[in-house]
Amino acid sequence: MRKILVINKFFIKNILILLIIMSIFHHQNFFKNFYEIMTKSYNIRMLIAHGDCSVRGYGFLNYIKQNYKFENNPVVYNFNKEPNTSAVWIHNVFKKKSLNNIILLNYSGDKKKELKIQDHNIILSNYNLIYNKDSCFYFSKND
Amino acid sequence: MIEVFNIVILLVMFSLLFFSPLSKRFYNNIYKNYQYNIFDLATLNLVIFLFILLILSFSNIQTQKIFYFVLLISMTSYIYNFSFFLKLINNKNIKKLLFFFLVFNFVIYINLVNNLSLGWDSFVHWLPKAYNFYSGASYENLVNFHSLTYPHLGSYIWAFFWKNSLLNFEYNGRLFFVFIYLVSIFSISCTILNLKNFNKKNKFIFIILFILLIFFFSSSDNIIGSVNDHLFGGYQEVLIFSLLVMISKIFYIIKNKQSNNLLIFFLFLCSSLLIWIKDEGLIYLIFILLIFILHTDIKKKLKLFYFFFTLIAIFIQIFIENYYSNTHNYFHMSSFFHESLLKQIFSFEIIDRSILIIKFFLISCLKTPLWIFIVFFVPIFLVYKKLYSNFKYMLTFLLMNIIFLFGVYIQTPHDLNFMLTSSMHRLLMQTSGFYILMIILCLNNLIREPIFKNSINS
Repeated sequence: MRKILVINKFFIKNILILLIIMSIFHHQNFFKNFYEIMTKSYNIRMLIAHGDCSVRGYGFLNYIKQNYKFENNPVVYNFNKEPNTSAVWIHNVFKKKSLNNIILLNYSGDKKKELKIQDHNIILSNYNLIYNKDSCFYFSKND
Repeated sequence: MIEVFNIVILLVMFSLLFFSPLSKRFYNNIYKNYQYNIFDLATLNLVIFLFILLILSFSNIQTQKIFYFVLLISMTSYIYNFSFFLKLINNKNIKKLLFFFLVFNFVIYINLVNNLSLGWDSFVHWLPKAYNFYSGASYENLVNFHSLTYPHLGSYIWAFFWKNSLLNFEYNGRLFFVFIYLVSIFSISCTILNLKNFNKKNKFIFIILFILLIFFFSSSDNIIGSVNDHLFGGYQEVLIFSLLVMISKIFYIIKNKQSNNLLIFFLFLCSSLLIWIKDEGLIYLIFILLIFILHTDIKKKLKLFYFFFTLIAIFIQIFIENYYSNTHNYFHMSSFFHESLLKQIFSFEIIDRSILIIKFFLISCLKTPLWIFIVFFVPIFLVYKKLYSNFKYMLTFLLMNIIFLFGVYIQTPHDLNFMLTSSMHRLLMQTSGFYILMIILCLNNLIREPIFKNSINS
């Protein structure tokens, strides 16, 4: 009984801070966020935030990075109005960029078209299509 | 589960590192007769830590080695000064605040970790730099990889905690941004503990209310419960905000409590960190220099020293950025004094531009609601001059800041509408922290001398 009284006293004394903490929990969606961290992997949450092939193309770039090796960094171009994410998601900081490998994200045009990407004229017919998913393409040059 | 464990470990690590009592004598010498608390101590530790990181960021020393070195120093300080640490937290209010601080951190960390979106500028400027350091490349390598148009300290900190965490995920670095942000908010709100006019019994409630007010009103993101736009989405404004909050507190102690050389040195350290975070930091550094010269009763010799040291800090930064940059055009004024500048100024266009700036200023105030308070309090000061007798320097800072805002947008050669929508709220947000103390001190003065004492109710 005494124990219960002591616990009650503690709660009454700290009721304000407890209420504030609970309201912050609610406001920040703590329980939902906590549940999602427990049930969804980092990769899935990244896909939700940055898209698989759409939006910023995290999923596509991550797949290419995991499955192909590059001597030089590929040129990545996103046809959506999105920032260039290649510097972080696919490039190696110690390698230089080369036009031998090209990745196009959210590209809906002709695969044999001539493109102007980052001040370079690129004729896609000179490249082999290595991998494609939806509107994302990975091309490598014929040597 | 492992990610939650990683977050808990990071929170414990941040707390161990930055609440570590380096030396009782050291803090006593800095704060002298000002009664400091654990959050003031964390502020100084953070400034020291950031300055060490800044210097080491130019070396090729691995971040892991730096991390273990800092951890070792912190652990040693606990062993030697544990009784001092216990004394610092041996206060009911501080214990509750510390508990609240840890819970608050954890809740925001969980929100940030679940919502991993990043801002546009983060991908363009800050994250590539952070990735460079994370990959073990040096400062020099930034030039091959990404332009040196912007300073790198924020990215280096990001990479530092990204690398030195249990799971090497990018967000670990951003969790530190939350930590420094909350330390600054708690530290500034705890100023109430040292103010006499607040009722002793209600001080804790007032502190909590101020913490919540600053948190919710520093960004509209916080009001709607999102953490992933310009606050913790990788933008550097939150660091500028936190440093300016810390600077405002240090400046307040220098001006109103005591002016000792060590604290002035810390003011210098803290303000010189600004130029290594964002370009605007240079302007804020100059503002702080000016208010230091104009509003403190310190010997002229010391002011002169401060002036020269600040100039040296600025020149060092410009020199380093230009030395490593392949374009060598860092801090060239050609973009400011562009061809159409004269035409813009000496024509009716300036009126249109000014109206547009004022319109977006008001809209941006809604995005950074702390500015609503600032805009509300300033006319009160102008009517009741007694209220602002001890913080005129904040009004000087405010005036210079508004001139700066107008200057930036009046001269810009780019599309003004786009510039205003994309950056005005961020410029307002990063300086809003400097005026928080003005609101606290004004309320303190109001309690002492209620301006409505002759009203009908009384």
